[in-house]
Amino acid sequence: MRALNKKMMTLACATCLTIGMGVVACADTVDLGYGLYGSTSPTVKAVEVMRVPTDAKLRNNEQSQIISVANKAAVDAVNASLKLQAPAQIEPMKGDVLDGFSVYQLQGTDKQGHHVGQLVVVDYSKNAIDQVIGMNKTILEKVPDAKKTAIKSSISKYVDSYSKEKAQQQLQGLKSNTIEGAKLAKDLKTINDKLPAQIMGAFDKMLATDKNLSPKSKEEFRSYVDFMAKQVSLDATHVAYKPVQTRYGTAVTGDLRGSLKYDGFRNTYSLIGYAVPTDKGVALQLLLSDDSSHDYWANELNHMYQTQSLKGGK
Amino acid sequence: MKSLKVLACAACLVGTVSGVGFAKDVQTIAGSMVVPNNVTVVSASKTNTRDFVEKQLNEEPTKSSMANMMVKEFFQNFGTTFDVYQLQGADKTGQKDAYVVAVDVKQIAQRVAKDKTNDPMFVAAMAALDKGQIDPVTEQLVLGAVNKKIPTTTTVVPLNDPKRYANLKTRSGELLIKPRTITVENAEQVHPVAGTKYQTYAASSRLLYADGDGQTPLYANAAFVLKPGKPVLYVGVTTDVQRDYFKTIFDNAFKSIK
Repeated sequence: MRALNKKMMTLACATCLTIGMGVVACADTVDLGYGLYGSTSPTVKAVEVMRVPTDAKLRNNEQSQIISVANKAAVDAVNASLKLQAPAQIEPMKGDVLDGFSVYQLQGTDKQGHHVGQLVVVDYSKNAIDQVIGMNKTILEKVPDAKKTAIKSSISKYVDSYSKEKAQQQLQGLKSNTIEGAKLAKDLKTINDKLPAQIMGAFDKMLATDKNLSPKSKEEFRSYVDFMAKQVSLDATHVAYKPVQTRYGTAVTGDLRGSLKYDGFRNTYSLIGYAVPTDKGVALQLLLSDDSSHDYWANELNHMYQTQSLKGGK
Repeated sequence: MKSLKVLACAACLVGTVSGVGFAKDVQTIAGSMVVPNNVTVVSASKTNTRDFVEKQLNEEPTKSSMANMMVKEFFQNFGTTFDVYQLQGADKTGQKDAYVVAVDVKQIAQRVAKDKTNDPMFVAAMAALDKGQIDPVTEQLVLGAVNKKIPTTTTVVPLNDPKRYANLKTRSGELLIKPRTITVENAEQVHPVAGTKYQTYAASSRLLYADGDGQTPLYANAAFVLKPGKPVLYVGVTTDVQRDYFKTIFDNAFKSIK
């Protein structure tokens, strides 16, 4: 009988341990890049959709190809945009813009229901940030004095090159800001008034480079896009950013809650972002979800980053 | 005693006034539907895009007369035989939106059935839909058969057989066709709805669609409104986290169709 009791006790202990371990093991790890890893709450599952590690030695062939294609596309896009919009002639971007990226679907459940959110991590290289600072400096030097007043803020006014320490110092002095209500409505009106023209401007430039379409087809295509551009608008209920202290050091976090509208129909969303400076670059993390899941994911990210408010400067 | 009566009357009056003040009628294909005043309803059949596309297709018809006829028929029925609505609202947890698809079941059944329109079962079903009434015996038979298939506990329903595609793999060795399932949770059995103008049956469920490890959590609420001659099936769909907000709105809206 004593032997049986002992066996039963062992079995009970093993069961408790297994269940206990099972609960602990539920927390998942997400790669935030540059050697930063985040742990989800035990009740939140992270499903990897795509990942390209920032450490080149950890990449397989497929991941190396993906980052190479992404970097080429990013450099081409930046240079094309500079050609069209830069107010002065500047050196084109060279080298890698992205050191890595990853996409996860986060899944969690509470009394409200099943929550899902897309966590997108983009790791911007020091090389790219330094070039952007250099470009800003060149623009400030080259533009006529009359146009200089129009350039309200240029990153090159504050730093001459990127480093984690300089970035964190700048963030500690950053004043938090929240825009809601009438002020936000006014800003949105300004954006929405210009939106159709901006969409058409970009589309016309794209159309101009297309040599396969006939002039008639181009005109027809243009009339469709022109109509659709007039039906699109952006709406927001809350825009905010603030400097914070996280387990990864000083960072900046921001919220954008709103909707993208088309012809009366809308798609509501919540976007929560964190930008974390590291020695090798900036890790930018964006969590996109249903607007109704905003508070759930804001709490989850606070847990993951161990976020604490910073008073902010200026 | 008198003051109690006055209080009761006042309470009734306030209730009625607020009831009227917080609801509005919205036109749908089976008739008007009541939604709270702070909920906006937009209809796909009344958009600028519909007018634009219809105008473009009329001005520049395709070479196929069959395709032109189908397009013409589509736009004739859009807003009368079928429509898509979006309900937009908000509460303290955020902005809310849900879609409602409405379909005239009789019209669609007649189009789909084609050569089976002489089938006695089909004729009987069409007669019942025309009348807008199902007799109690048939109702019990149909509800019994349908509800037997609705899970009463959380059930995972497979949508494909991944074993069939076990050999199809990506370069990194992952399955190309992943297991797809739908988890049915808190399913409500199909039931007659009391206090409606037309005989109405409703049901709802939480539906967690999974494709591999990726999830899409949804909530669906459907009602079959037996308007005589024009029976309409309404299916409301939103995300699971908006379920609590929309459940009452869907229930009351479908119940109010007149």
